[in-house]
Amino acid sequence: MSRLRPFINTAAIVGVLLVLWIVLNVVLGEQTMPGPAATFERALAIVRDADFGKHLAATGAAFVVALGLSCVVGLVLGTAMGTSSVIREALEPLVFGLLAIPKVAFYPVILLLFGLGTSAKVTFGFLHGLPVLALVVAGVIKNIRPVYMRVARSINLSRSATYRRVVLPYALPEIVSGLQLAFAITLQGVIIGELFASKEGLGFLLMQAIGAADARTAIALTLLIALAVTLANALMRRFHARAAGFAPSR
Amino acid sequence: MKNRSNRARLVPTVVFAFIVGLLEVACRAGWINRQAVIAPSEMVLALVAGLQNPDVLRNLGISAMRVVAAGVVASVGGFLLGCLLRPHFGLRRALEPFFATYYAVPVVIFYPLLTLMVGYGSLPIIAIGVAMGLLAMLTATLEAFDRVPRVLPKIAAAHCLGWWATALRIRLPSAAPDLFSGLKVTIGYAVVGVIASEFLLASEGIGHLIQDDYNGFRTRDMYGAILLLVLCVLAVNRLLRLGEDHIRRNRAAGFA
Amino acid sequence: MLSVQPTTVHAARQASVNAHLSMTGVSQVFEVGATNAKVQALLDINLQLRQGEFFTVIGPSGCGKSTLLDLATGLRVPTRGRVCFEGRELSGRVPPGVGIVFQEDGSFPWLNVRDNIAFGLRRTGMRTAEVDAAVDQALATCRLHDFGAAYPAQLSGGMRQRVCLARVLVIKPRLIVLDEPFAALDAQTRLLMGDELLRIWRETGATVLLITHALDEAALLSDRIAVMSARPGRILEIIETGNPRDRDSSMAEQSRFGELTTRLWHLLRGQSQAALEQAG
Repeated sequence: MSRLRPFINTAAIVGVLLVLWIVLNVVLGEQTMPGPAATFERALAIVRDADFGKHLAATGAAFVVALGLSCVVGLVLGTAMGTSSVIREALEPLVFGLLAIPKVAFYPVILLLFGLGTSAKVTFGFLHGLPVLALVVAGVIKNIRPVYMRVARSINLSRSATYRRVVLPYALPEIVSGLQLAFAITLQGVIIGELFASKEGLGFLLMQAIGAADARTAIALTLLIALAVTLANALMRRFHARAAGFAPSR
Repeated sequence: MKNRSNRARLVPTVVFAFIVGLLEVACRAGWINRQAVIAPSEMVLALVAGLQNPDVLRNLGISAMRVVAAGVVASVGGFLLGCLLRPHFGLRRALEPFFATYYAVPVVIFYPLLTLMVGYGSLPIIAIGVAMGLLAMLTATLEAFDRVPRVLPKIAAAHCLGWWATALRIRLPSAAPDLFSGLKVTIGYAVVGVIASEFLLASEGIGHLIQDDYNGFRTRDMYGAILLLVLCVLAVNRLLRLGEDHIRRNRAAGFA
Repeated sequence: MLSVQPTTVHAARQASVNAHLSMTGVSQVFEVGATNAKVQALLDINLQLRQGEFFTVIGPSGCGKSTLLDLATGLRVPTRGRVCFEGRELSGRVPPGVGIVFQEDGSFPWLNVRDNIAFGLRRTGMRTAEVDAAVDQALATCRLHDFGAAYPAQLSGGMRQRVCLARVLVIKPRLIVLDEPFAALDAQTRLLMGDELLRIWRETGATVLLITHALDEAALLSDRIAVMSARPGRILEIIETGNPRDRDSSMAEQSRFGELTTRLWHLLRGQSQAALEQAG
C-alpha cells in the first residue's frame, strides 16, 4: 500500500485540478472557459486533423536543429572557457549577460535578420540553450578536482588522453544534467518563438486560434503543447538515465 | 591581488568593446543589411532620444510597475507556500512530477488564452509574471530551509527557544543567502514573463513599444527601446548581485 | 541479563538523589524508516554524575552516545526510565544550568563572535553592560579576546568550537555536556583543546559530561569513564581513573595513562568490531 502512495497522491492532485477546472467552467461559462470534456474532444479532433502532423513536425524539426547547434557550440565554448583561464576571463561575463537578459528582447532583431520562418525560430532556441550549456560545461571542467589532474600527470598521460580518460568521464554526469536543462530551455525558446511570428508549428496554431477568438481550440492547443513538452522531457530523462547509468537529480 | 581583479574586469570590457567596434564598422561599411541592424552608435543616439520621449518613459514605467507587482506577488507567495509546504513530505513528493512539468512548459503559452478570458491590460501580464516566478521561489524556499544544518535548531532547543523564535532567529538567518538567490531567479522570471507577454499581445509597456516599432518599420526607435530594456535589466541584475553580496558578506562561500 | 537485587535498586535510588545528574533505568527505542522498524538504541542505562566531576562516556561508533546526550540534557524524553538533574526530573526541556556543545560546528555564520556568545543571554533580560561584561569574560576564558569582531567563516575549526564553548560558558552552566567536540580537529589541536577544557573545568567548577570515541582523550581528561557497548548501548563498566585534579596533556608520558588506555581498548575492542559488523 505504501508503495502505491505516491501514485495515489499524484492521482489525487490531478483530480483536484480537474475539479477546479470544472468549477471555473461553471463559474465563467463555456465561452470564456471551456470545460474538460469539450476540450478533450477538441484536442482529439486537432490531433486527428491531417495538417497537425505537419505542424508538429515543423516544431520538432526546428527544435532538433536548435538543440544540435546549442550542443555543438555550447560544448566547444564551454570546454574552451573551462580549460583556458584567459578565454574564461574574456567571455564568461558576456555569456552570463546573455543568460540574464530576456531573450525576447532580441526577437525583433532576429526577425529583421532572418525574416519570418524556421531560421528565426532556430536562432531563438539556440540563444536560449547556448549560454546554459556553455556555462555548465565550463563550470564542471574548471572545477575538476586538482588531484585528478595530478594523478594523470603522475602516470604521464598526454593532454588529449587526459581529456578523454579523466576529464570527460568525470564531467559526464554533470554535462548530462546540463543537457537536460538545455533540452527543456531550447524547446521553450522554439515554442515561444513560434508564438511571435511563424507560419507553421504548434505555436503558430495557438496564435491562430487566439486571433479567431476560439477559446476551445486555444485551450486544447495549449494543453497539447504542454503535454508534448512534458512527454519530450520525460523521454529525455529516461534516455539519459539509461545512457549515463544513473538517475538524474532534477 | 588588486591586479587580478582589475584585469578580470578589464578583459571582458575590452572584448565587448572590440565586438561593438566590429559591429560599428560592419554596419557603416554596409556589410550588414542596414535595414536589419543599425550601427551601435546610432543605437545609443536612439536610446538618448527615447529617454527624452515621455511616451517611451511612460511605457517603461508601466512595464516596471508590472515587473515589481509580479515580482512581489511571486516571491512573497512562493515563500509563504514554501513555508507551508515544507513539513509535509508526502505532499512534497507527490508534487514533484508536477514541478518538473511546470518547469518544462513555457508558461507564456497560457498568456494568449488568458487575454481571451480576461481581456487585455496589466492583470493577465502580471499573472503570467507571477506564474513564472512563483514556483521558482517555492522550490528555492524549500531547498533553503532544507539546507539549514541540523545542529542549529538543536542549539535553539538547548537554549529553550520556542518555535517562532527558532524560525526567526535561527532558520531564517541561516537560510537567507539561499532565499536571496531564489529571489534573484524569481525576479528574472517575472521580467521574462512580463516582457514576453507584452511582446505577444499588449497595448502598453516597453515590450509592446518594441513590437509596435518593429511592425511600423521604425527600426531606429526599436533599437533604442531594446537597448533601454537591456540596460534596465542589467542594472536590476547588478543591484540584486550587490544585495546578494551583502547578505553573503562575512560568510565563506558554501558555508551554510 | 543480570537480575537486579532490591538493595541494589535502593542504593541506586539513594545515589541518584545525591547525584548532580542521574539516569535511572533509561532505555531508548527508535522507530526507523518507512516500515517503522524498532531499533533499541540504549538499554537500561544507569549513571550518577557527582557534582563537579569530569565524567566521560566512551564507546564504539553507533553505540548511542549522541542519543545518551539527548536524553541526559532533556532534548529528548526516554522511552523508559528517568533522568534527573539537580533532583528534578527532566521532561523534554533543557533545564537552566545545562550547556551543550555539539559535535558539528554550531556557530552562527551570520553573527560575529561576540554576538554568537551573547546569543544565550539575550532572553535573560540582562542589561547591555552586563551582557558585554559576561561576553568579555567568556572571551577571556576561551582565549578569544582578539576575535570578538570576527565572523566564524574567518576562524579555524578549533576556534569555532571555542566560540561554541564560550557561548555555553556565558550562561554560567553547572553542567557542561560536550558531544565529541574535538572530533573534527587534528591531533595536536585536540590535545591543546583538551588542556583548555580542563582549565575551564577547574575554573568554573562545573560538572562536565564528555562524549567521545577517543581513548586517549577519555583517559587523560576524566575522573571517571563509562564504557558503552555496541548497539543496543549498555554501560559495560565505570572506571575510576584516579587522575589528579591539576592534570594536563603532559601526563601522557606517565605509565598510569598507558595502563588506562590499554584497559579501555581491551573493553572496547570487541565492541568496536561488533559495531563495525553492524554498520557493514
